[in-house]
Amino acid sequence: MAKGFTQTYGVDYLETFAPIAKMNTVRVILSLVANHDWDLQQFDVKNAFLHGELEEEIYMDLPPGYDGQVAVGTVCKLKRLYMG
Amino acid sequence: MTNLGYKQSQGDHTLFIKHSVSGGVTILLVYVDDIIVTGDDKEKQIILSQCFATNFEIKTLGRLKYFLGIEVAHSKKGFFISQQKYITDLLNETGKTACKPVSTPVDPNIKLGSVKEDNAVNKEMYQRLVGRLIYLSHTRPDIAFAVSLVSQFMHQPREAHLQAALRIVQYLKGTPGRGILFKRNKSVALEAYTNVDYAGSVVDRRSTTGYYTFLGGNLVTWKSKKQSVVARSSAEAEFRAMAQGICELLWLKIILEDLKLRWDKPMKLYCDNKSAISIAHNPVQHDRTKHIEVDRHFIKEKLDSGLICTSYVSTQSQLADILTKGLNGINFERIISKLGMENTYSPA
Repeated sequence: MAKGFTQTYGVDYLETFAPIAKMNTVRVILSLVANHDWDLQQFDVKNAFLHGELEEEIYMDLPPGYDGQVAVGTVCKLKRLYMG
Repeated sequence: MTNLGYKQSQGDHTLFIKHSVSGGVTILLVYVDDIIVTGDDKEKQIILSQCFATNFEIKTLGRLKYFLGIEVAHSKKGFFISQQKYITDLLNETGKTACKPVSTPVDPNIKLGSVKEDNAVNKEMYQRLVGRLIYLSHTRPDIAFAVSLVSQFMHQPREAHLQAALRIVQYLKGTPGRGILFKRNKSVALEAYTNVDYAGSVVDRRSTTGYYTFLGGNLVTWKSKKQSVVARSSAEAEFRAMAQGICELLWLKIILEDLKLRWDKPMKLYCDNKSAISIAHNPVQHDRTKHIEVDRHFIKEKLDSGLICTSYVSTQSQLADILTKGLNGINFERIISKLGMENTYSPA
């Protein structure tokens, strides 16, 4: 999540989950596949959930570099899911 | 996924496993929008891929060839992972395509310190370069120590640090096709080599931990990292490294247990410090080891339970040396070949 310092899993946001495999696990699996002679298939999710619909209201600070005229302390409401 | 009977592994939450009645296993590993599927149950894999196609917009890409910038090559011996394309891009970006290659990533004669008198260099550029090198270390344990060195100066890079980082690039220029070979050894043995460079940092005299772990004879994980506190004796530094190596082995064991792959023999821990091994086995109080109680008892407990056994290796055959100090060309190459690293490409 973009600035994840005040969020708590399952408290501040609904079940979002960024499944990022550890590279270590990838190598462990590769070693097992080699040793057991398993088949290795790859799948690709079309248009992941990068632009998913939001189910709850989320607010964030203005992105750095935003130069529109706004009052100090203004926040913006997210219209779309945001990855990063 | 859980509806289909897949269980999430406790060792890594992106790993899903399903055991079938016949004893077969199907394994699923997820990286955001990329999925790897493997196992010995062909039938389950076909069902899974049909389920992907109907429930999600998921495309089958066939045999694994390219994953997160890592190239996977299949051969009779097993398979081979490398990041050759990533290295070529890095050479282009740094303008080093025509540079003279060097044989090792670290100059063994230079101790990198904070060098305050040196010229400051562009921090953003330095951080981007080191960031790219860090990503490369997924398939390159040979540069792990060099990268851990240069990444210690991210906050205030100087000319000497940039030169050290560029030396790594120069080294990569000579070995762009180097990567890790996963062989068919028909084994699930777990082993680790740990090593330490006592008080090696000239900045704060902390020691550097280095370890490698092997699963079924293939290199799977490694680390080269400056310890978080200063060690007062070499045995203390060694214990810390051994404890870290054991933790890694325990993690690997958790993954194997989730997969119901049993390995009942003790996991081997290789270390080149005889006194550290003997103190680990011997509960006698030593004045100089009083303050490292926790690591020592942790190791002792694992030894007593038969989970781990320690083996002495001579400094000559200590593979983890490469993770704690800059070596000369001959020793460097000797260790690299023992790690199962190969070069698929020879520069013209």
